[in-house]
Amino acid sequence: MATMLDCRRVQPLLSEYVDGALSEETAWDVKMHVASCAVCQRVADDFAGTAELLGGLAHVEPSANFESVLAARLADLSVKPHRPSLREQVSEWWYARGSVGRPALASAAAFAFVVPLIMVTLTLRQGAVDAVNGTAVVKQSNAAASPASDAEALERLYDDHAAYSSSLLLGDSSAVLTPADSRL
Amino acid sequence: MNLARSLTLTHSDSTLIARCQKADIAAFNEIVARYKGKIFNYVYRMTGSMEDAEDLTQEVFVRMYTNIGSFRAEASLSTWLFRIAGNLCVDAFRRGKKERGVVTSLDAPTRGDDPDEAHGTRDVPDWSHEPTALLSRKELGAEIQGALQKLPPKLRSAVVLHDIEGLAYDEIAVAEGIPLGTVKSRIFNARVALREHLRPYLES
Repeated sequence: MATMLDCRRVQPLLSEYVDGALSEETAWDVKMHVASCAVCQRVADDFAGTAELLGGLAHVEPSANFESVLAARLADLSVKPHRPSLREQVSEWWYARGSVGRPALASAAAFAFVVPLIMVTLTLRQGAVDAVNGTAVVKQSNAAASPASDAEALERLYDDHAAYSSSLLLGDSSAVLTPADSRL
Repeated sequence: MNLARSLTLTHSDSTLIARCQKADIAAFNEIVARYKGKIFNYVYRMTGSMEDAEDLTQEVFVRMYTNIGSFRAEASLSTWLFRIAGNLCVDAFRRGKKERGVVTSLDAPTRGDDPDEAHGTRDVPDWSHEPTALLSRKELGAEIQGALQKLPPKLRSAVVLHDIEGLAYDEIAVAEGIPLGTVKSRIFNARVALREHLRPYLES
């Protein structure tokens, strides 16, 4: 039973495993499982094999007259490059690295917006409190709960992966499966 | 001449974009020369048709030219072009004109414009007796392209961008406009399907 659970958790990670995209710790866990599981070893080899087949495909190139056809297409359409609008120019300036004055402008804008907002909110809230005669209950969000431990995070990662492949255990179509495993 | 050419080729994407935004046609042509191969290859693997790939790749650069003013320097030109190309492929599939290989009748004539495809036939391969070692690269390429065509376009795009175009997971997330986790699951699911379709070539 333990092997079954391990396979269900490991197989969704095998694609990232063959790409070297897992964290060092998770990759080690997967490696240890794969070393002792012929089914998952086979799936990992197959995933690497598909990547190799696709990577080995011939690179196709456009026709020799691609540029001339494109030039004619642009000319026929009377296409002109899009001139940036005022909004786009402002946006470009705003996001440009090292824009002078951006921090100051941002602070001023935030101040000008936030201060009236706080005043209005406080006024309305005071009114609401008065209306219920001081019995208003403020519910606190628990969204900022203490962070989960690493083990819990890894568990959740496994579960997330298992969610989209819970009905898919790849061993059942592998030739290496033993009859005892076929019920998987 | 050679020195001038090599200097030209060293222009960064951001430099070329800045020039292109000032209607510098030479910069535009250089961007086309730099990326037409990658975009064409991606679109071809998506559509399975050289003709459609040519047409859609042309459209990618038309869109780039007309929208270059709204391109933000922080983004990668490469991922932006792949995003335009992917959207155009999806539009083409929705119009139902470009998708091939999924519902194509075996009796329908082949187009004969596929470099990986065996000429003139659309026989169902009998892999059980096929000596895969004897398959030519061309025939193997046709089988792999056929397997790609059987994938849903979203899975196909993710696995083509990763395994053929060499984009990293996070680059695909930007190009496709999807979360990183979705990229991983699409590539995983694509490989699960490809594993079934290409089993004879994986066992050899």
